[in-house]
Parts: sequence; C-alpha cells; structure tokens
Amino acid sequence: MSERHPSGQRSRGRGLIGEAVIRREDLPLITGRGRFTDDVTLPGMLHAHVVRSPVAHARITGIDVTAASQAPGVAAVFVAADLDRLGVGPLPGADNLPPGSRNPEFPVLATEKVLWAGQPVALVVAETPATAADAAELVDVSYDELPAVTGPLEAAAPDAPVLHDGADNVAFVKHLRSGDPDAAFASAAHVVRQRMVSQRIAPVALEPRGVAAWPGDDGILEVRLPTQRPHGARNSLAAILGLDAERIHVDAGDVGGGFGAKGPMYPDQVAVIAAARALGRPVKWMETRSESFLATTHGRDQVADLELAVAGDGTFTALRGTVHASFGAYFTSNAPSSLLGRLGPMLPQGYAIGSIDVTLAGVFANTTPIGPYRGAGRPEAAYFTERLVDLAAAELGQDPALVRRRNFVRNTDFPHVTCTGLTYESGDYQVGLDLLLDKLGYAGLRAEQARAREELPGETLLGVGLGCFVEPGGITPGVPGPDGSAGDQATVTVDPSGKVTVSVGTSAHGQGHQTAFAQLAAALLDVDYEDVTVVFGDTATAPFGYGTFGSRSAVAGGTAIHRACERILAAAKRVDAPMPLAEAAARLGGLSATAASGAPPETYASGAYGCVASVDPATGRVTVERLVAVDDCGVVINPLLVEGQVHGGVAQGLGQALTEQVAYDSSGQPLAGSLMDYAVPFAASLPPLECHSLSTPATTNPLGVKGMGESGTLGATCAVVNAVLDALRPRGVRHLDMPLTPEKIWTALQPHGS
Amino acid sequence: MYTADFAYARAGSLAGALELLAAAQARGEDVKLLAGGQSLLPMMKLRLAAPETLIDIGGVGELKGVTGGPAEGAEGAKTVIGALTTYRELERDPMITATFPAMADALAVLADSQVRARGTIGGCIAHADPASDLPAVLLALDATVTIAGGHGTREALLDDFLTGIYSTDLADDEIITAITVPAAPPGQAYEKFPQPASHLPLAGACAAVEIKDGTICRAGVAVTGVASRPYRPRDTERILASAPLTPSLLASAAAQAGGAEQGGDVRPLSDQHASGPYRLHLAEIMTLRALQRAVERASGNSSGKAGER
Repeated sequence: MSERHPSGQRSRGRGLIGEAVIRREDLPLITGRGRFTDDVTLPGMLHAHVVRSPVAHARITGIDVTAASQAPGVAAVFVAADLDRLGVGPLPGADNLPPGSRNPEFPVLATEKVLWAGQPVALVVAETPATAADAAELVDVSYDELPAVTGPLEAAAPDAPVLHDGADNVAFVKHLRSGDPDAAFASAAHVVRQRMVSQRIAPVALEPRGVAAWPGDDGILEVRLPTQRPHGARNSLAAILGLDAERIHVDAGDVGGGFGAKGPMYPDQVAVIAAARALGRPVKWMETRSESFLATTHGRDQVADLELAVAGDGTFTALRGTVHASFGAYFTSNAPSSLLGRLGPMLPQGYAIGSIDVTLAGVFANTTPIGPYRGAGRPEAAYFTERLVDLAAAELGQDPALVRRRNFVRNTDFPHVTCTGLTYESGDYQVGLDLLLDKLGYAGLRAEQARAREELPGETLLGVGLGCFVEPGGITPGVPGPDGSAGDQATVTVDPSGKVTVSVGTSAHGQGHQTAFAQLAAALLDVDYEDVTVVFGDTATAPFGYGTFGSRSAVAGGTAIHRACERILAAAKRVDAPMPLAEAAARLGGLSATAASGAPPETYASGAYGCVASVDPATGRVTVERLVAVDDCGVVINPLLVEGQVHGGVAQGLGQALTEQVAYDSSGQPLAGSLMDYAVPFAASLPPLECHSLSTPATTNPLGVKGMGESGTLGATCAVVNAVLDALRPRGVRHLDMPLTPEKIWTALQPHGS
Repeated sequence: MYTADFAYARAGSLAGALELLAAAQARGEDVKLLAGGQSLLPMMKLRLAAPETLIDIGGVGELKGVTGGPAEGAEGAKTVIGALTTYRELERDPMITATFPAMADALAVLADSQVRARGTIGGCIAHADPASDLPAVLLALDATVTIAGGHGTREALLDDFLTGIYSTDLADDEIITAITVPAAPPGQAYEKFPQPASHLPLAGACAAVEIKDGTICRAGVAVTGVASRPYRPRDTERILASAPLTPSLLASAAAQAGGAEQGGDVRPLSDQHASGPYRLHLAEIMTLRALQRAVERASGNSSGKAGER
C-alpha cells in the first residue's frame, strides 16, 4: 500500500487516484460533532413511540386508545383509521417483480391482521420519549392469535398458515434456464448435491433507524432521515403522503451505517412524518436497539437445494435446483431484487458453467420483512456455489484450489457472458487465486495439515478454506431522474477563488465519499485536494441521485463527477491562453457544470479469500487463525477506503459464518432481542486481516473502477465455512449449516452425530 | 428504551441506607438497592424491572475496599471485601490477584471494561445471575457473605445464600455489606466458555487444590452458567481427594462436574445458546482445564493465562 496521506498536506493531480488519503470525515464523527438525526432538537418538539404487535400472527379484534390518549403529556395517538382519514399510505410493496407475482400493499399501521411480532399497530406522540413509552403501555389491543410460520420451506409448504389473501404464501416463482442442463446432468461423471441454508441475520448498524419531521417554511415538509437514498426517500414519501415531491425536503445528515437496511422507506417512519404533518409540530422518533431487532429489515433467509454437474475431467458443466427465499411478512421495495437480480443470476460466479436450471421461489412468513443486507444476494450466491465446489473437490479427491482454477473463466475470455446472461467485463481469477495461495503459503499449510492429521489425530483440527467470488456492483435503476436524464447527477462548481464544490446524488453513510470524491475531483481538475468540498445527502443541495447501495457509488457517482469535471475543463478553455483552472475560474467569474452518469453498465469485481481455522474437538469451538483477502476492484481511488470496506465486510461475513442468527420459536417469537443474545463479532474476536489486491480495470466506465463495498461478506463467509468443514472432513462431517456454533460442531463430532 | 417512573433516594451511610429501606417498606413500596447498576439498570431500561423506589448505596464509603489478607496479618488471615468494591478495584489490587489467582482469572474475562469499572462484588452476589463468573470463584474458595439488617448483622455461607435463578436468602430489609474469603492455597484457576454475545459463561469452572505428597488433600470446585445457580460438584471434590494425583484422576473427577450437586442431579439450563447436555459437557471440560491449571499453579508454575482466547 502506498504511503498514507497525512491529513492537511496539500496534494494534487492524477497521482491522487490510488493515494491512501486519511478519511476527512472522521475527525468530526469521533469528536462528537456529527449531525445525526437524534441530534435534531427543535422548540415544541414531540416524541413518538411505536406500539408494536407482541404476536407473530393474529387478527386484531379491537384497539382502545382512550386511556393512552388521556395519559399525561400525550398529544395524540394514531391508529390505522386515523392515517386513512389523513390520506396516508400504504407502502406500495416491491419493485421489479416477475409478471403474475403477488405484491401486497404494506400498511403503515396494521389494519385487520398483524403478520409479524413487531409490526406497527399504533403511534403515541407525547412531550417526552418516556411519557410516550408510558402511554404506549396503555394502548389496549385485542388479538385473536393465529398459527404462525417462520422458515422459508415451512412457509412454502401447502399446509402452512397463510399470511395474505390467496391460497398459499408463495409470492412468485421464477425459472432461470439456459444451455442444455438436462444433457449436462445426464452425462455428468459426478453430481454433487447439497441443501444449504443462508440463515436470517440482522444488520445491526451502529446508529439505529429514526426520523424527525416538522412543518417548514412555505409549507415545505422537513424530514431528517437516516437514509441511504435521500431522493428516493423523498419520492417514496411523496407517493405515500400524496404530496408533490418538490414540497418535501429530505436531509440525511450523518448516517451511522446502513448495510442496506436504511434503503427502504419504513411504515414507522411514515407514521411519524404523518403525525408531524397532522399535529403541525416537530416529531422525532428514534428506534431503540431492541426495537431494531423487530422493526429493521433482516437479511438473507434462504434455503438452497442445489446440484452441480461435473464431467469426468473435473469440468463443471451445469447447475440446477431450487432456492426458497423468505421475505418476511411484507415485501420492502427492493428486497426481491436480491434474489431475482443477484442470488440467482450470480450462481455461476467466476466459473465457466454452460448450463443452468434453477427455480427461485419467494415466500411470505410471519417474520420481520427482509431487506437488502450487505451483499444482498451476492454472498449467498458465492456461499452456495463455493460450498458445492468444495464438495465437488472432495468427491473428485482433488485439491480445491486446483478444481477452482480449472473451472475459472480464463483471463483471455473476457468479456464473458454467463449462462444467466450477465456480462463480466474483465478479470483475472487465476492470478487472483495464485496471489492468495502464495500469501497463504498454501502448499506449506496443506503439508502441515497432513502431518497434524497423521501425528496428532485427536488434537486440534486444522482447516484451510478458500472462497472465490465475483461481485457485481454499480447498478443504476431503470427509472430516470426528474429531468429525464439517466443515472445519478453531479454538479461541480469552481468559484472565482478557485475553491471547488462537488455535489453528488450518491449519498454516503460511512463509506468515506467526502474523501474519495474529493480525491477524484482534485485529480481530474488538477487542483489541491484541500480545495475540494464534497456535498451529498440533502435534497436541497445535492442533485438527483439514487443514493448508495449495491456497491454503486464509485461507478455511478464517480462517472457523474468525471463527466461534470470534463465539462468544467472544456468550459475553462474559453479563456484565451492556457492557465491553471483557478485562474481561469477567476477570469470567468466562476464555473459550474452538471452531468449525469448515464447508466454505466454494472462492474464485476472479484476476489479470492483464504482462511485458516482450527477447531477444538473437546468443545467444538472455532478459532479463525488467519484471514487473507485478495481483491480486484479495478482502478482503486483510495486503497485505505477499500481496505476499510474489506475489514467491515469480513467482520460481517465472519458473523454470519460463526455466530449470528435471528431465530424464532414455533409461535414466531424472536429468540434474540438484544445484543446480549444476538452475537455480532467483537473487534477482539477478529483475526488479523491480511489484505492484498490486484487490478484489472473495468472497461465499461471512464474511471476503470469496480464496485467492491460488499466483497468481504462474499469472500469471508465461504472461506471461513470451507475452512471449518475442511478441518472436520477427516472426522466424517460433510456439511453443516451456518452459524457454525460450537455446539453444532461438537454434536457433529460425537459418534452419534450427523 | 426508557425506564418506568421511579423514586430515587441516596444513602450516605449504611445506617442511613437501612433506614431508607425500612421506611420505603413501611410505605409498602417495591424497592431496590442500586449499587453499580450494571445489571439492574439494563433490566429497568427494558422494563423487565420496574421498582417504585431506588435506594442508591453507591456512595456509602464504609462498604468499599479490601481489608485483611496475608499482607496485613499472619498466614491464614481472612480477606474481607466490601460489598461495593468494584471489579476494577479488585483486578488492580495486587494482594487480591496474588492471593487469589482464580479471582484474577475471572476478573480478566468478566464482562467488559465499562462493566468492570462500575460493577460491584456485592451487586453481583445479590443479583444471583445463574451465569456469572465471580460466584464460582467465591464458592470454590468457601466465601461467606456478611449481611446487615434492621435486627443486626449475620453471616451466611455463600453456598447457602444462593438459592436459585436471580434469588438469594437476602431478606427485604437487608443489605450485603461484605464478602469474606478464607485463606486459600495458591493452586487455583478459573476457566470459562463464553456465550458469544453477552460473554457470560455458558459454563465456567473454578478449581482450588492443595497438594501434599503427591495427593490432593483439599479441593474446592464450583461450576457456574450451567444450572439455576452456581454449584459445588461434590463428587468431583471427593474423587480428587481419594487417590494420588494423576492426569486420569483429574479426568475422572471432572467427568462428575455435571453429574451431581449435593446428592441431587444437576438440572442444566437450556436456551438458544446451548442445550442442557452441551452445558453439562462444557462443565466437565472447563472443570478439567481449571483443575489442570490449578495443579500447575500448585506446583509453583504460575504460567497459564485464563483460557479464553
């Protein structure tokens, strides 16, 4: 890695791209000068408390708010009928569903039925958060409880309790079929099959959700919302509240992490905003941590039954099977895209697999709605395929690294079109894997492992696991912006003193865009880094954009900034002689240009991760000894930010692999309601992370960048699980589902174990 | 989360605290004592506890600090730990860590830095969480609890004081004032297997052994996290003292760690983090590891940090 750029040092020019500049956003954040939603305090502000269903599935037979309405300090209590009268809601359901899908409307407050433990039923607004909480206990809701169903397979069963109108809980079924899968399976020398679960997990951002809303000047509705999509949130609100989008101002302020969960608009937030409008006063609501486990979207929750056909020479020829994905009680706007656009189409990963026959089924269950969660279908696809690849290697009796390399798309075969119709623009998977094997000391590890198995069969079990992946990034939604132009917009302004302001429609929530985009603009305009200010997250000051999700901002926001900078440079040529940009701007009385990204194609970053893990056979406890990451995300703007993304993604991947799970009992009650029971990784429990990179630039955008914000979850999840199962293989364990808890492993190691 | 309403009173002395307690009870109020607040306050914030009155004894100086121990008196002196002594004060007390290596082990893996800064030994005992580290150490070392009440002061063996999940023998008008630990042999250790989220023990074991002529002449063993309260596996202790010390003696003694408690079978806890049989298995493994390290330390080998990570 290049030298870290000390904050404050002046630097400029092309060389800034690739420089490890220290994040400029951190100092205010770590010294208490952040602008978070909970920091909003206004005169006359009221506080909301959401009354939530305590049961997973029930008919509401009555709601009595009399006592709560009369409690001290209470301004109002809202139920579904009140919102109806105000013309609010419902939320529209999901985008981009296959034809014929069921897409129920998502009520802001529950009407006849509640469908998950945690669904909003009423909203109490009072003078303080505590009085609102006290009064919420007085809201008397009568429930006629119904049987509940929580797992994807159970919910899809024909005799399952049905959530929405209709015969069953299956919302859609989509088939991915191409090539000649039947022939490939008929002629396969080996067929590897496995049922695999990617369990339901919770995003657990440092800042929970919330909202503050108040009537502003000139009838503008002011909304402070920790969101990944300020413009998208504004447009959703306009539709739900029946307002003109221009009458709503959304400011995200600082956002303390999202991981996808701060993308959708939520019913509780809509209810609070509607209450502020109805009461004509500021109203704020902040989710508590416990509430977050019930109310903020979860991720994953799929069961895959998949088969890989392998020819006699070890070549992978086809994939087939079914993936059942639960979406919880209701669709959130972009949740099904994780399955339909990511998980299914990405199953081939980096392998040249010619045929596929996979069915994707989306189902409803009595659980918290699913949303995109870091990777959103990508880690699941990588996990399912990489487990099958390890099982194939075991069946072939060949080294898993060798089996991978033989089947990778060759570096001479790009652009590569997958059997699912995606175009990978560039990559070099063999070189990435070779770099990983070298950094791991793979041959030496295998020798050490063989020796340990020979000499110390009862002692600590050592495993080595690989996880190779392709990560699509940079998606641009098909809906054009308000002026009809495609993609995200950026406005670059150079004032007469030479100071540059970049405002961009991709809104960050922890990624470091202020730093990266300042580097980018300073490099493109050849000005000082310190002279560039970056603005986003506020619909009043940032131009239209789709926000930040799906590893899209370097690709989409970066391309928009690149185009706007090109226009600035062209405009600066209007002066009569060549001169520095600042001088030209002074002569011309300032410069400004806006450009849209268009819709740059998605990029396909890749990676090869390796894990060394040991298992204590006496307790089943796993120790991750090493985790080595090789990432290829094309041109790197700031390697420090890339490494930070890898670290965070790895932590979340490790969490899914080893400890995290949102579990429910048979009545649909969640078993973990706080961080005392839900086990996210601790900093102290992470292994030292060894990060390496190579670069095959993207050929489809002017910067050559590839989205990589989720790679750590793709690589770590499968590398860690493959390492643990590699350790357990000599003891006769073929597969275990995540999380790989000590008890699960210990049980599998017992003579009666599976 | 926001607590329900409650009244708050601060006591300046033990006598004052007892008076406040008696007065609140005379008014028929549901009252709780607040010490470090590391267990009670989270429960109140989740509204799992909603006392009408809190009596804050955190400022009662006479209940803080450590007295006695070998540094102050002759060999064999007792160590008296004031109920409001924090984990942090204990872990930074060289006499405590030198005299009770098992307590040092437990303090090093107990909760997190913030909890250790505020949490008190008396609060820990009064809370009687079934999965708590320090009670296992105190139980294995034969600690006693000193209790003050309206009718005077009494002493109870910790083993008698702990009665079940979050329940003790403390009467409504009483306050724990001190924990007394008798002189203990240097051969002691605590081992824990943490629950991954809370880091409370799914199973923790403390072993204290005294070895004479190759035989264990005195053994104290206690297991926490496994049953409704920390317990002494008496069969384990009996086996340890029954024959010359060998590795297989430790193994067969540890094998009884989940087996019997004062004549009755241990009824293990079971939840989403660990089933009953797995907890019993962990009790055996943690006991074995604690015994091995205690024996090492008894032989003058002070090596061996606590087993966690």
